[in-house]
Amino acid sequence: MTHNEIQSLVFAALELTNQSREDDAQVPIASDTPLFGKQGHLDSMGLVGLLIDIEDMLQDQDIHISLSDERAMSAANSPFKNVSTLVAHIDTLLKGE
Amino acid sequence: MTVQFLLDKMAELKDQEAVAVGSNVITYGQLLTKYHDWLEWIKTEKIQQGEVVSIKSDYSADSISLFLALTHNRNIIVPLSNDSKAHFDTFCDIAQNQYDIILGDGPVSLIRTNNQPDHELYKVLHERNQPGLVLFSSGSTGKSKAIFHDLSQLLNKFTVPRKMMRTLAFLQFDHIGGVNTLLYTLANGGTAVVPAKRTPESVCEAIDTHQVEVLPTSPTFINLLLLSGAADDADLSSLKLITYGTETMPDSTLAAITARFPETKLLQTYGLSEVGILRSKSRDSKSLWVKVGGAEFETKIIEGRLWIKSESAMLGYLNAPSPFDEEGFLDTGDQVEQDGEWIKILGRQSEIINVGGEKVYPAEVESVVLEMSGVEDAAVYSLPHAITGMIVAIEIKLDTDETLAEFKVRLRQHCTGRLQAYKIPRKITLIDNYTHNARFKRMRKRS
Repeated sequence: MTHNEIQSLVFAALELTNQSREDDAQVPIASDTPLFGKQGHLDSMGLVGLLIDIEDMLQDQDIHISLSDERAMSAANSPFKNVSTLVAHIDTLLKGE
Repeated sequence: MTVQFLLDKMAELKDQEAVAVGSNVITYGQLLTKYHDWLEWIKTEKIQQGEVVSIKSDYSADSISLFLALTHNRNIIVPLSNDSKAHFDTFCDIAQNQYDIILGDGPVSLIRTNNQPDHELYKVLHERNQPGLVLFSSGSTGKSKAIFHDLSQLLNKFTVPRKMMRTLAFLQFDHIGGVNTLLYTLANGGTAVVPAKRTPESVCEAIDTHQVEVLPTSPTFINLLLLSGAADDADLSSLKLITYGTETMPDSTLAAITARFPETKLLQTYGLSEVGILRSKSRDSKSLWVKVGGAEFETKIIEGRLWIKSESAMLGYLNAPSPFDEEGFLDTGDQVEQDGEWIKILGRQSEIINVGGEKVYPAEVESVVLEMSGVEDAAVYSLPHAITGMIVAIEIKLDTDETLAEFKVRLRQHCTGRLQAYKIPRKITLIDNYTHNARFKRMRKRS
């Protein structure tokens, strides 16, 4: 998958998340949107949900990976900080497959 | 003589209907005749007192009368219904049966095995000179345990006369609930109605045909009964009481069944294969608060968990250490909420999902999800997750054409406001089959 394809997939997952969020809690669909942590739009449960949605979408393309493995949690710079770090994280995982 | 009180009752009510299987109805007089035929047969085949005998059969006039005859002969009985067909060999191996009796449409088949049972607990029973009963747990929490009862103690509690009822035999005689239904019915001159199949349609037909008054069943079956619409095509006005047990009742299912059958009383039962079925009383038909006990039972609650002591408790497991504490209490593993003498069963300790330190009971989540239109079945389980330790996962059977993504949105919208965020299922899997086992108990996946 190319970087752009991964980003589209993350955007699609965010749109899915937004469908069940209140109007005033919408997550902006953009590469610099903060996700988790400082100024993040998601709490831990929201993040868990988003990651599983992305995993489900990858599964549809027959790609079976876990986005929240131990490495992800101990990374000095959290891969869940914003959309672009998350895209880079998925990219790394896919290349390492 | 342990079964004498049953025989006396049968002789007294010889024209009364005892067992109805399909359109075939057997009276107590006929059952008694069959019982004496079996006694002769046992003598001919030289089955000795104390020997271990398995009966492979579902409920029928033959299997019931054979069960009574073997009880009289003080055998250790291992009833094996077709519910557990896949495990017959394992179960026989654990119980060390010396005889295998197979009842079907044809003539009876008797097989002598080479087993020489020498279990310590069998010796205890031999010294008491009493009949025994081996039941197997469903194995929903690991491997099946062989539960060994002194059958005379199980029978004792039925010597107190109670109401004569026409009862649907929902569970087979290899389940404590099925044994309870059978013995209650025989002891009080009632009629045991065996449905041709355990489907909602077949059960409704049996209730209609034989004017059944009591339906002992599980919340999962009640859910299916409501979904199937089978109750709309049959006359169920004879039904006075529906009892439910074996698993936690979802609020949504209880609300739906009381609305559908406003004239029928709902009663929660509570029992374990290890201690038997307790007498119980629901606060009212719409309530999940229940009082459990009875003359031979003592209960205590420690750290929210229910412990039970019973005079008719099993002697022990054949294949596991004794689970009783020094005072003879058994940890049921069920977490309960308490309000004076009333308790509410929340779920099994072993099934609690710990999401970031918060406790989630599968039944509560299932109850909310089952309220959604299009959801036929739902079973919650836990998945390990790096972020919150565990997450709530759910398997769903839908009768809509929604995609997973579409359904996810609808589920989250439905659950928001009804459940705290940590209880809302994060991993959702759509499945094609119902989640229950042969006894209509919801089987949750284990991660």
